[in-house]
Amino acid sequence: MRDRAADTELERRVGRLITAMTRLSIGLLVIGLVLLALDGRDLLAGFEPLDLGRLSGDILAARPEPFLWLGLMVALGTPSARVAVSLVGYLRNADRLMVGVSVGILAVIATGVILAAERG
Amino acid sequence: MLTGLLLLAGGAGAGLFGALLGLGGGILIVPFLTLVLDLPMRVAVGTSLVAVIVTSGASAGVYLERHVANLRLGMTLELFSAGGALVGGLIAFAISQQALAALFVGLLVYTAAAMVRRGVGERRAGTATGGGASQDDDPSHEPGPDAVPRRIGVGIAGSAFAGVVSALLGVGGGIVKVPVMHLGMGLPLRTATSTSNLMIGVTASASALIYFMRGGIDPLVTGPTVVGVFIGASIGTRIGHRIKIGYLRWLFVAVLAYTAWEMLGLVFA
Repeated sequence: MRDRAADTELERRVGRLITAMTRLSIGLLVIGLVLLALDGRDLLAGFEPLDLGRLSGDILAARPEPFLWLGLMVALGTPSARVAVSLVGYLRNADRLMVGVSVGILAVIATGVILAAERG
Repeated sequence: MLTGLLLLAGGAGAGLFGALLGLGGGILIVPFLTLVLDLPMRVAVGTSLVAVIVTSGASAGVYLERHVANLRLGMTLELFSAGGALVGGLIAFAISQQALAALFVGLLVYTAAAMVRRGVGERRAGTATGGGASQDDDPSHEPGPDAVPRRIGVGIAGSAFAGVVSALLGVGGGIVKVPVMHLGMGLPLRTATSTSNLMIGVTASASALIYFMRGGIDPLVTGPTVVGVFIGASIGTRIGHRIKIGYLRWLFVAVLAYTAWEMLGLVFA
């Protein structure tokens, strides 16, 4: 069932989420870039793979990579977060069609991640 | 340091040009990274996909808050564009770099031809008023995002195809989605543009996550490029309505043609 007022409110909420996460992503990337500039390394010389276990220690050590990785992960996670928030909104509004659509999108994204992880 | 500045400047140029001409920055980022910095196609595509997500987010949030984009329609179609992107993301790692480059050359030629057609059409109609916001100027005075879409099947097929194109070539896919929604589904141009922009985030993230998981995203390259694109696109959005894009469009067509020619070198490498 479609409730136009509820839809508009959900759009506003989702819009605010996207804007906030995009700003957070850019902020983290800029911090990473400043630290990278101070580091003065060759950017085309290759990169260290993401190691989640070392992330907090590297942030405290003010290394550039964790800030860049975090910024990229926030950027990559923004669309999924937007769909998840929409899912909650549509669940509250008992909008079954859009609940199904939201779950479907998240399932497609999850399938991609799982397949990519399996194939290395 | 110099490479970082080059990535920032290249990203900013791609973002500025893209925003002024209503295209994403992706169409210029991939050639810039492959031709100027000699990076592999897949790293360039992965970088471009992240840039596309960020630039989409920067404007999609505003479009939603202002009730310009249609979240319901966008999500329905992005179920299929994400499916297309999933397929495209997996294909991208199965085909050769030369094949990817050849597909990109095809996209460049198609985009250049579309821009020539549009430029000639506007000149004939005498409506070349210019401005990067030309896609946002909706002369139809149709209803806003609540307009009822027609031929949903056309939208579904177009969205799935746009997803494959996006994942393979690192572009947002708006060049497919906007005409499909505007001409195929009868939506106002402004709604089609803003809803396509919203969809780009999920479409690009479905494949970008595959690139991320398979080591196709280099943070040292992607970080500066994405920030540059964000800056360029932000400037372009603000100054777009003040700039006449008549000559800029023909310059861009020349840049696209030259880039396609140069990228042919990668196809036969």
